[in-house]
Amino acid sequence: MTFIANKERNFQKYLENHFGMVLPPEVAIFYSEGVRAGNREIWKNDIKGEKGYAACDAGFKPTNSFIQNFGHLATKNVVEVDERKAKEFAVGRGLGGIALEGKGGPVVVRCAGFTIGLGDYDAKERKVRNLVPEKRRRKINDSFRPG
Amino acid sequence: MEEKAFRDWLSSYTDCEACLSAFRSQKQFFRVNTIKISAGEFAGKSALKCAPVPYYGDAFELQERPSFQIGRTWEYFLGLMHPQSMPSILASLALGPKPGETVLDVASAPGSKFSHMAALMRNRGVLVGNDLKGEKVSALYSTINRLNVLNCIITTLDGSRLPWKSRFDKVLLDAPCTALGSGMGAYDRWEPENSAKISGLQKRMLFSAYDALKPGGALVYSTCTYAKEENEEVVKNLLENVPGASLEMIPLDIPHEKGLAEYGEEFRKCLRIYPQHLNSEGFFISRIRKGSA
Repeated sequence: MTFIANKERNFQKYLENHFGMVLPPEVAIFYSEGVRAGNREIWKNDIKGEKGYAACDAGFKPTNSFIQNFGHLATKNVVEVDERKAKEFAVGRGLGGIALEGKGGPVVVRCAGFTIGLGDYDAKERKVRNLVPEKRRRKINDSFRPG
Repeated sequence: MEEKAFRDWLSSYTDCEACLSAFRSQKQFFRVNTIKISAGEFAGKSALKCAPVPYYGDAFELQERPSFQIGRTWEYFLGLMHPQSMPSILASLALGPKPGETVLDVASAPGSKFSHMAALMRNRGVLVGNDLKGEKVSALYSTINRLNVLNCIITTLDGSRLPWKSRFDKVLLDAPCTALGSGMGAYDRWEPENSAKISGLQKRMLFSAYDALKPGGALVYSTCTYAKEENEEVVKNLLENVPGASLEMIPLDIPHEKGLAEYGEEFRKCLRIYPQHLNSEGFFISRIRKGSA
């Protein structure tokens, strides 16, 4: 239990450092290895969680669904793209010619403030690899202008 | 059941011809996800040909079916809207969950009403979504992640044997049913025995949902079917066996028929929404208040 609590604290510290993201205290969304807030623990034995992140050598790797939910709170490691690139990303393609500060790693891809999904930034190649799961990818039609 | 017999059966409830004709020409509705965008901003940005619904400002009716699937629009991908039938939208409105409340949705997958309740709660409070079937829960997760529902907890318990007593301010039980109103339980596959059979499960689920409700709390019991065995009879069974439970008026100004008075005058407080009322699927909605201890 202590281990899990520590892991959660470390993950939240990671979110703050890497994404500049502070989760609102009232958020109760539950991830089996992720965020649990306040007195929601009373239900912990009944909860069916969803994976929010995985621990890895570099620290943590958030899942796409986690980023879908909380990506709007990120202030760092965010790639803002135009509608054309957002469409390419939504269908599963990566992004090239991206310049971000830092060593790289997970990034939030957004268009006009709306989160499109999770990417992995390669600082050397200046590329973002698409980490949106296949079942979530879509070819988007032109009916809406997010920007 | 044969078509002729089904028509006779349906005529005992409503205008059969109007019902079947409206059912065949149902309109497509969607709800703007106000967690992410206001209805006004959405209308300004979307190119979908749609018109606001007079009964609810956050819902729209598609005036022209697009040549592509709704699921392939930015609006859908970004979680700014959710396709949903009008009566299904009304079920959450009938319960009226508020920010800060503790609310349970007993059979929540795939998450249309569930995510609507989160929007009505402005993502505040605690919303517990339950569904027994694991494969349906993954659809629920897909919906809540897309729509940015954050105030929720998901459980996979048997809805007829919930472990919670007097825990929730409000409870929604949109019960598994024969779905004659939504077309999934088409009459050619339906026999009255099907309704009688599922009625037992619905009664157990309603008792369990009612137990989870705090004294003074409100519960909405709904189905998307017409058979009285799955609607009034299920509610009547609860009212007869639980002291303090009572039916309430549902303050929604929409075209409908009243619940069947053969079960008692108070059942006129229930809503029977047939396809001809809203050009959408058929629904039964009742609202029950739990007496204070």
